[in-house]
Amino acid sequence: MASPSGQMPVGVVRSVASGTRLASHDNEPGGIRIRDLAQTYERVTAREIVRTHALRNVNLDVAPKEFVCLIGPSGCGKTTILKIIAGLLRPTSGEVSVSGKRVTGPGTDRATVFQTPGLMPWRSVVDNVVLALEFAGTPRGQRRDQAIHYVDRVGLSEFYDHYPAELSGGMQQRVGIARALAIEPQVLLMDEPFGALDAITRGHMQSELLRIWEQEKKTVVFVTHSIDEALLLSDRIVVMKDGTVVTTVEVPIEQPRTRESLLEHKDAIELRRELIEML
Amino acid sequence: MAIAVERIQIPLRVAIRKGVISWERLVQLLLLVALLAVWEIAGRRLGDFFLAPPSSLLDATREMLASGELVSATLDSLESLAIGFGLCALVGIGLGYLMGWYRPVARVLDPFVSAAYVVPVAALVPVLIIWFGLGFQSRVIVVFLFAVFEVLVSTYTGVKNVDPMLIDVGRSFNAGRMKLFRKIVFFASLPYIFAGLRMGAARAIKGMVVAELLFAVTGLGGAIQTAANYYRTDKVFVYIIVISIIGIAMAAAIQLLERLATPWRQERSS
Repeated sequence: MASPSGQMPVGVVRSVASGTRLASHDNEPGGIRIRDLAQTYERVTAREIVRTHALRNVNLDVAPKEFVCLIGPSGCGKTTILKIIAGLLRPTSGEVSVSGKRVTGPGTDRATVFQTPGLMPWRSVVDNVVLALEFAGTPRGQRRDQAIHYVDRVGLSEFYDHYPAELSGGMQQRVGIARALAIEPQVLLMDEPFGALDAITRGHMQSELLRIWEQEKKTVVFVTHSIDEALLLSDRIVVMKDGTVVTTVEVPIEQPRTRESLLEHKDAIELRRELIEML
Repeated sequence: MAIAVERIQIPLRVAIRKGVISWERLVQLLLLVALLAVWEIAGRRLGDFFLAPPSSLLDATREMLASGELVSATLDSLESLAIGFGLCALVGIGLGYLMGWYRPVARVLDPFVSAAYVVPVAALVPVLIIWFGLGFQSRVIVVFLFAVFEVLVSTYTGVKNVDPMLIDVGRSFNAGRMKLFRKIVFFASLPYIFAGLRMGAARAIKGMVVAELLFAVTGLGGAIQTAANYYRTDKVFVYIIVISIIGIAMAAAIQLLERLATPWRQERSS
């Protein structure tokens, strides 16, 4: 638990001066490897070129089936990293590989849960999931059964034929999660999925996600700006600031965790204090 | 689940009654009666020549039905309206989709559409008569030109306004460009397209009448011109009412189509 290096006598924060924690298994199925990633946005006007460096020099490895939280203030580039891993955004430089394969675009080995669920309002709950399966290339005959299986999994068995507008925000986000799980990806990318929910619903959804994650172990990259959420969910917390990784922190607390237990857990209190100082 | 979902079947009889009888309907009816009453009183004071009262319209309608002029004028008009509006929906939606979905097409066509949009089509009618004559072809073209830009611009706007979030969702699940269009953009832009069709329908009817008035020989517009020449204001009103009815019928048909095509947009609170 304590760092053997001696440089960090207190706590569990490990310095990552080189920017990386080189895991040996990030080439295995579900492993993610990010090298020298940079993203620059350019706005050209008549008189000047404005460059925004959203990401620079990002190095990160995620082990298969690891749950990693990216945490940082808004605008620090967390979502940009997620979009690049998803293949929705091409990085300016650097490279990302998933399962040892370089990411050049979207693929069915990764699935994203977005901050706003992004459901098709003209499709019922099950049909929204069916659509994702159709996009992902699942054979027609399998789609419905598979969709229903995952809608059940997130606890919406009573709502197969409801339209998204008939659901609460939390329920809509469950559909978003079911949709991502349904294509059976190796990597689940979650972009502040509970950010728009009220605190109570948020708590329920977090426990729900942990329950599902116990059943379907996947690599998860979870973007959040909530320290408590990160402490509750993740194996490792990646702290970001101004477009780069400041440090990564192991969370040495055994799952299953609950919010109540974290309130009293010694390591959790210590970690929370350190994270608050860093952010 | 903590949330209870109830499913109650509505008997057909109740569904029909709910659909037909409502407070709005009653007020609508009262307004109509009040309007007719005012018109009747004014008409009797001013005389048939100035303002034919509604009671005289019944006789006029009977006369026009007997002579067949009403039916033939209406059918004549409807034919050019149907073909003109059909073409306009086809071209307007098609071009709108093209412009919305392929940026270069929009960049090329945008100034042309903007320019053509502001041209008063009625001013083109004399030229169209020179080019295409006084026949059916010219009238269809006028109807088409009157309405097509409403539909085109609405469709284009609809495609451009598709929530980029939904496109991102589609892309993240590895949808190809064709799938994105057929499964997301098409549905997401439907509300705009129907709004365009509703506006276009009203414009198409105006175009139809304008063409007929200027050609002064055919259809409802021509018949209005003829009736006015004989100082038959009662007949003029009957024709105008028929035109309104066509408008209401088209709006209702488009609304029905919209409901069938976009069932998810119905109000749901009870």
